[in-house]
Amino acid sequence: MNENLGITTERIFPLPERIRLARVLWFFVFFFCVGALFSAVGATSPELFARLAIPAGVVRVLSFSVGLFYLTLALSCALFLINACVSSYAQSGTRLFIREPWWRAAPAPSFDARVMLASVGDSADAFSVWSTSFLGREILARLGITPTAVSTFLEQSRSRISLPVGEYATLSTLTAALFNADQGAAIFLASHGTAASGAVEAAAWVERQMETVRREKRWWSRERLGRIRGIGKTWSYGSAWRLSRYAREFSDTPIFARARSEVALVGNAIDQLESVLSRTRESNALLVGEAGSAREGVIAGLAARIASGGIFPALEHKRIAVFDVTAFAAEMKTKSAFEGELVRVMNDAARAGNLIMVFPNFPELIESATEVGSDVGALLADYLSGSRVQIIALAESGAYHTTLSPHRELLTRFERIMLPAPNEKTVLPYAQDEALRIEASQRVFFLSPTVETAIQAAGRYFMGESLADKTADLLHEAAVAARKEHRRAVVPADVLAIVQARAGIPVAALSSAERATLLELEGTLRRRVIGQERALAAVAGALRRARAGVANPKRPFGSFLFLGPTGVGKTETAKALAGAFFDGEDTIRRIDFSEYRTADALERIMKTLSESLRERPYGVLLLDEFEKTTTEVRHLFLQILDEGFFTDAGGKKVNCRNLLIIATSNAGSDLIWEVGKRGAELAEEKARIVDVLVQKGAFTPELLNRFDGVILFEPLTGKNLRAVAEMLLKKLVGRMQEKGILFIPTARIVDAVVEAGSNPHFGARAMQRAIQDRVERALADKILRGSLRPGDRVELSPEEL
Amino acid sequence: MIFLASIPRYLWWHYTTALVDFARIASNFFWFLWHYFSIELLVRTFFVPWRRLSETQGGFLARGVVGVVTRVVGVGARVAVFICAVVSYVGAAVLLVAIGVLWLFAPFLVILFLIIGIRTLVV
Repeated sequence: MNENLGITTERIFPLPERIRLARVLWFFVFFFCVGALFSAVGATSPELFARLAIPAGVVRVLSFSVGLFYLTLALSCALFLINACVSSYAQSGTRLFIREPWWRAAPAPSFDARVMLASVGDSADAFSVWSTSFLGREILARLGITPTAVSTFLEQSRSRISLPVGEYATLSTLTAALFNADQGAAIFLASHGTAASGAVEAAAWVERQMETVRREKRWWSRERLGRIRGIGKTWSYGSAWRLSRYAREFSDTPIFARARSEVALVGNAIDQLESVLSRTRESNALLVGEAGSAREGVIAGLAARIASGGIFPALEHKRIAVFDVTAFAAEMKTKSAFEGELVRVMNDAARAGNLIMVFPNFPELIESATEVGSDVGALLADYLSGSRVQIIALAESGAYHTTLSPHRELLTRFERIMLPAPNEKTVLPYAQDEALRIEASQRVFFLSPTVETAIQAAGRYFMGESLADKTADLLHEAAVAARKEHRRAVVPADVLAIVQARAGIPVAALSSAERATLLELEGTLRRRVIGQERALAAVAGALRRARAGVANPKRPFGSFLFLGPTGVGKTETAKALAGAFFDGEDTIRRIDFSEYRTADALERIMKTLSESLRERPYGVLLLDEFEKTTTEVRHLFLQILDEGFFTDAGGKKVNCRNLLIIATSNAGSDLIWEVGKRGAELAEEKARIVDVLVQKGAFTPELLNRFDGVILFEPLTGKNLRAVAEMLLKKLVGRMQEKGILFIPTARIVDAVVEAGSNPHFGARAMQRAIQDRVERALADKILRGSLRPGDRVELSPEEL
Repeated sequence: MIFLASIPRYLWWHYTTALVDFARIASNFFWFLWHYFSIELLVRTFFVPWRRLSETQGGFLARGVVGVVTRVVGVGARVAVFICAVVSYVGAAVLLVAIGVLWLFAPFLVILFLIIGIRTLVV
């Protein structure tokens, strides 16, 4: 076993416990030092103690202070040396941002992995040792599993498994191997609501946290000392007085504080930026990224390197000034003012000799110039091609394509650096760091699943905004919510409750009432939609999957194509769903596709959809007469159904993942009718009907495959039509009750309505018309004649209709 | 037992690896002072006018006078920084030597404090 002294000490006596002990010892050193001083005073002038009437017992106790002082001082010094020894071994694996002499980073495995391996490596019961070790306890705490639960589990009869022999580079790989080998332990985790993968994530977090603690204790490192601002850095450069009206030092801007923590999200973009800016000519960079990409994070990384001195010589002593485009554009109302001031500012910056100018929203400057009739490209050409001033321009991908792409000449002066949009994986370390910062300030404790839930929720429910920012917001608010309830642990439910309150999407844990609603959804729907059992079962099943968290989170949580004749309940089903599952029928967004047949259909529908979905990103999206629109619009829906989002004209993503998309169509009604007439089972004929629709070109197979289900609605006949009549009359009874009139629809009236409204081609619509034309008219006549007043009871005879 | 077995390993670390660590830390402080006082930059720009101030208008003599004055101010400020830097270097060197000596005797100091403490308590 390759176990050095640092590993042995860390295993027996972990860092936080050593820190605690050191604090206690130094307190006693100070305490006994004071005691020893008193004792010395007492020894030199006993009359002082006598005058102060200090009891002899206290004097006797004080006399021990000197000895105790030396003993505690010896122990403190010994602990200091032990800490130095462990730090030396532990930090030898640290990757340094600025090189130091005689430094060779130790190869893998990491220090914590070696400490854990030294503990569990030879044990016959690896989980027992792992779970009771310091690092194991930290990991379990992040998962919300208490030591009591662990000890209860350990006391049970279970199979004891040793850790498989292998190379474990990190604590997380070791943890993964442990739970892979010990299924009993994995089931124990599962019984506490977390998978083995959750423990692996938590292990990675704990390991990073330990590394951060060790890195922060290394105050003598060059990367820490280098951050102290030196003197004389600007004496040899100009001051750029005029520029200071419109620009601020990057480190003085509010975005800097946030951007510093985003450095982890930018990959190698800082290296690229550094090499572009180090060129002798045309050393300008254009940072382009999706909304939410850490563009400012790249500049923060560059600023940190300049401050530390660990940068190419060409960039040493450079200052980064952030130009306030909005303030400049607001003041410069005319072309001459705009051009004159911009040239003066740029001359000023060039004279200073050490300025890197940042234009946070470069397309805005171009647009402002265009508005006053000026050409920024021509104005900046001299500065961009020279070496006296360097420019970093930032742009969002959408604005880059719409505003900057046409200025080809200007773009040749810049080296473009594309920044990837952060994804859930890259944001995780950032979010964990943010959670640790909140923990330090708010005295809360984040469970590892809480951080993961926040990232997932930010991606799913706040698409189009910065994933990192949104995650950080959710974590902050969840911490505040937990504190309000006088809790220390911030749990995933806190995050979900905030999402529910903010976005109005029911994402929080299922309440028992909600469970009941979901389980009885078919019954609820059946009360409103008659004779469509199969269709309702399919839709209810999809909703249950989504709410139970089984559905694919990267698609809309349900998508159906309802085919069938008019008046059979397609739209009514959509309304019933909105009523039963969402907040009510208001959550339905209805788009009639027969209005989108012209050449500009795609543009119009994107506008309609993006406006509607930004306002309310969840509910039922009802697409009526789906087959009647253009091919381009149907292609758009291929993407929406597949990926759950689309990109609008401005280049921004619009989230469709919280929608139940229901497309309805009358295509194939004749075929469905024909099946009904023959008395055949519609389900058996479904494949043939769909084939015919594809052959006719009504739908493409790709589009049909994207739907969760293609549902055929059967024509209403016989007893179904009677049930529809009864249901519609019941609604009329309700409306009359609101007027204070008790209307009794007798069996004879129902028969009469069925007879008058039975037109299977129009289904419930014909029935509705029959009720309107006959029953409602008869009731209206009575009211107008004054024979029916509030408080009356009325029955109609078929003759009155 | 582990404690006793660890003492020789500790002493080996104390007088080998730790001394290399100490030398690295000392070099970090000298590196810091070098950057803090911007020595390289100030040497390179020793005669450059203070904050690049210059006069673009007026006659040759007036511009010359302004140029001389700003350069003199610049040189004066830089010389002052150099003096501070030298003093800091000397101070840091003395301090680091003292800490280095203390480090060499640190294990013995721990034992010494222990003996003094026990003796004081016993007596």
